[in-house]
Amino acid sequence: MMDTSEYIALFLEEAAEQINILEQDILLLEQSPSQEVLNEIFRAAHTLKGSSRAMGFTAMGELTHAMEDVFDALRNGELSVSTGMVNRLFDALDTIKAMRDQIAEGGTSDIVCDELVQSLRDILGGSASNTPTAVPEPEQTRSGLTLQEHEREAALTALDNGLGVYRLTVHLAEDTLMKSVRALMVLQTIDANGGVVIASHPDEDALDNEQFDLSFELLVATDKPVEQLRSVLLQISEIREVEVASWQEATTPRLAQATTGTGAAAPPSEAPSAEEPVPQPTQPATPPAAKSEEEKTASRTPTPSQTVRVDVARLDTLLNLVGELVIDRTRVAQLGREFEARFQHDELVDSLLETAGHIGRITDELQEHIMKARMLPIEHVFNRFPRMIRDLAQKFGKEVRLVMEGQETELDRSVIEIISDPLIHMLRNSVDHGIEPPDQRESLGKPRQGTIRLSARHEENHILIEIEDDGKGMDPTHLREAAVRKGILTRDAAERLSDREALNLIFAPGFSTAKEVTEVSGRGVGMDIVRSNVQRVGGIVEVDSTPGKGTRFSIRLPLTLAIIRALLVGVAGQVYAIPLSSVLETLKIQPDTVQFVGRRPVIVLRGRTLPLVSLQAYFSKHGADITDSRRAEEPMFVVVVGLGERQIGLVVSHLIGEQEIVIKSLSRYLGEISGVSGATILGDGRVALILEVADLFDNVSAYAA
Amino acid sequence: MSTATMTSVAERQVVAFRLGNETYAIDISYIHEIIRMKEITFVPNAPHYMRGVINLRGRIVPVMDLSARLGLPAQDETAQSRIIVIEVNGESIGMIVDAVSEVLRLPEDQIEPPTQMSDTESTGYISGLGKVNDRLVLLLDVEKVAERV
Repeated sequence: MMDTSEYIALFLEEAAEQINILEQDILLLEQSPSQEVLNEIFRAAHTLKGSSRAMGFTAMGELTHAMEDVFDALRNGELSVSTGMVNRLFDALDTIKAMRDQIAEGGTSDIVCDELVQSLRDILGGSASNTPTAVPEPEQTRSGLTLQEHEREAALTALDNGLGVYRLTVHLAEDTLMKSVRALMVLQTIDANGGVVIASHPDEDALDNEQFDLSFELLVATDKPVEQLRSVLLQISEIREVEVASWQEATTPRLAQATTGTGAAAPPSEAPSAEEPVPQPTQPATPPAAKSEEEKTASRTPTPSQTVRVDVARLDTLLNLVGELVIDRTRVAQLGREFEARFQHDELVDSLLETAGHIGRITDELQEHIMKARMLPIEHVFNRFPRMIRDLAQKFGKEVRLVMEGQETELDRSVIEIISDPLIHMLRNSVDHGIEPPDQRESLGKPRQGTIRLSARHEENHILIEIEDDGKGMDPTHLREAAVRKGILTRDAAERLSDREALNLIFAPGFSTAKEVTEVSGRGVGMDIVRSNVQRVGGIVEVDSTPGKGTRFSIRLPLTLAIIRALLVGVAGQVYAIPLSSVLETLKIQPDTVQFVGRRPVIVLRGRTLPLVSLQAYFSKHGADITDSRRAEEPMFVVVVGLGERQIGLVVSHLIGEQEIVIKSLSRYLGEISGVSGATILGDGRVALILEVADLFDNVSAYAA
Repeated sequence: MSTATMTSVAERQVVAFRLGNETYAIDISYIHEIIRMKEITFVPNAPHYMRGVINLRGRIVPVMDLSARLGLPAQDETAQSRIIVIEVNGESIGMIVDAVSEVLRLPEDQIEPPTQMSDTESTGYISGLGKVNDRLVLLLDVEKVAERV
């Protein structure tokens, strides 16, 4: 066996992609089987089969082959979809996933799947003629590249759309060890370069199984210069030569075909008339016009966007470097202004300022683009939810429809990593506690099937994720009682809570509304963990609920964690940065408006009591308390910060202004510092600490206790 | 000393610096750079011997007061004061010293294990005693100094 390690990474990536497609499509299959889905699913299984076999993972190849057979039977209408079948397909897919993970870890997989393969074959059992290997291939014994009707049509459509269609003959070097791998790489390279393989000789199955000599032929449609494609293909090792010939359909008068759109005026040519009576094996007869439309989209969709895979660490490094640049840009601009003040009307100063301005704009753009490069569509998290909801619903005997919106919404990958677990937990809650059992729903006059709506969208500088269900909702009265029962609140305190505040009780540590702890929801990860996870990345989670109608959770997240806007404030000769996301407003107050509740200083702001925290006192070991600043009869500056429903006022020496800052971690050596989340470097090179507002709130409630 | 039988004895290159009246030294391989004093941003709620953080060309580096760390009397900052930035286990840490004197070559056979000095808590941070021209140099156990408390 040759060394395949260089392909392993590629294989694993691709396998993950195909597994993902399979998972989504099997779900779709269950909900609304369509020929389109079946085709895609078949393609994914087929690709996975081919690459796993080529890499020598025969068990995985076997299993995907068995799945492929089932899909094929579905596609040909020999079978129809059933829940049992879908469950078995999912079992198989899970096994393939496990195999892939094993391979990723140790390079091999020892998972045995004979039983699964058998159970998949049992599904096929009904149609005995359909032996496992019988993937129907019409015209198996073609010599040379001859086109079937639908292939020829696809080629013609491609020409009509202004694409070039070429016949490529690929010759492999004589001592090529794994011909199928090379063939696969050729196909993938064409795919990755925007080409579409319309037909091949021998067919793709034969290519997979190395049933060819040293050359094979492909019919390829592409909108790029074919020479470019050829030179890319020649870069694949062990590809000796690629012959290119442009393809023209000689027998069909193309002009005539192009004018058939209007119908009657066209002279009856062979091709269109032949088309109608021949029933396509996989597609129900559709009017020719609609069909060519379909062909067009079909030939467009497989063209992937031109992408390169980049290591995340490299992007992180780039972002760090840009961070440096942002700091230097500010510094250069500042120096420019200082020079200007010192040497007015000097030409050199002018051109320095001009250059500094230019560097500033370029840096801004660079930063923006690198930030964008780190963005991923939230799809990456959402993708696994349909399957999860389906399994959960089945387990709890509920009927649930998951509607997802805005999967294409992009956010920074660091945020994506953090948001995944909280979302899983909330969705579980919705299925487990939110949606009622079907019978109960029916008796309430609701549709038997509950709906969970998961949506993501951009809102200003934030991303808003909402999870909404039409289940039983939460009753503030019950929540108050539960809080008292669990000793979280005194009865008095509970009675004083507004309905909204009562709903927020679910985020309190140790609070779980489930009457019984279930396997799924009662795992000790409560809503308090959800909230602290969201808050850790500077997000906010809110809940809204109407008893009997449903519940809605809203999560507001920053787009990125690397660069934020912050309010800079001065405290005792040092500069602190307060993330703007938590700043509500700034106030200038007279010291005599400060009142005391017990020993705690407060002010009254628009009728509400606002507790004050002196940053100087908080950060000072020798507790200079708030009264110190009262001695000076000067006005005080207060920054009002919010965390969920709560607000406090931070007393600072002075306000400096708003600025974009690059977040840097405080040295690991210093460890966790209460009230500080990190540091940033200011334009003048000084270091400013970034406030961790949540810590300050904890501290206030500690006072209160 | 007398055990040296080879013509050349292994040497250790160290950077010598002053803390109060004593001369200390650090193995040169730990030293990232030596810089003049610069503005240090105080970090609240950190260990008492930590003076804060500095900006070292875009990196945030914590700085400790080495005298305080070793339990020595506090020294005033002077024009000779320096920050020695060391790298231990991938972490950069700055240490404030009173003055950096020179780079010394200490023959291994001139280094003795630390004796039970009557001295203070600093003893625990000394890995050896070197003698150069009849001067006593205290070799700092960098790993220990850099240990988090």
